Amino acid sequence: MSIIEQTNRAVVTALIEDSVNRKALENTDQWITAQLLEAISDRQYAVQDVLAQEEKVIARISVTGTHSGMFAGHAATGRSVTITQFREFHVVDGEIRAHRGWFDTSALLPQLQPQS
Amino acid sequence: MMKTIEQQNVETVAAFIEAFWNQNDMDSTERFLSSDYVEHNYQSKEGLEQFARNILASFPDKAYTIEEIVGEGERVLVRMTMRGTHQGVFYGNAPTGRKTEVTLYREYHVVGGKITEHRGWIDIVTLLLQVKGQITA
Repeated sequence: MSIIEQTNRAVVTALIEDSVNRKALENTDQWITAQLLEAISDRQYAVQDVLAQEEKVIARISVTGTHSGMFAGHAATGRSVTITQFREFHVVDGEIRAHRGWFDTSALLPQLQPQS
Repeated sequence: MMKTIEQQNVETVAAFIEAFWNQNDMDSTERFLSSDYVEHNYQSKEGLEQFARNILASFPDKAYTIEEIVGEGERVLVRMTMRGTHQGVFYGNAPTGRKTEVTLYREYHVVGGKITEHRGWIDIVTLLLQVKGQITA
């Protein structure tokens, strides 16, 4: 990995881990996001993995919270659930020029089932 | 200029996605996947092929577009859009003829030109809401 890629990784990791940036990290263009954020409370963000190639960086982030509201027809269970988020960054000269995020729901859905 | 290993790996993954997911060439797994292939979503190579046949039955015109692809070392991460018309049973939903469009990510490991490992993520809730007609693609 080049020095630039190492720097870009560090810039992105620091941004995600700084809770000041929480609001920016919850923005996506998915229709489901508003309902998802309503349904999962006390959200904690943790960087799981980072891939960097030249100016592009993609982070895989775990978002752990409490299933405290209705999501996709699934009533609150009160349980702790973990959502995967991917967030892609364009980093130039150590500065984040653009980023976009996306929530996975495939691994979330089975966690919302009532306990049998 | 010689291609970097990352560029070669990105090309391998893009070629596999085109052959397997777009051309529906199920036998392409023989060319692209290693003999010790590890499948995290569908249990095995056979599980992957079965899943692909099921998706093809549900969305016979399915088409995948690579929106972003990044390689680092032996890993390749790709963001795709899948578009398809709901023409077969999907998660218990009878065919509706509705258009769907969903984002997914797949992470591959590539060693010596062969794909050795795969893990995937998809916004299944959005896809199901489109199938049920609660949101439009």
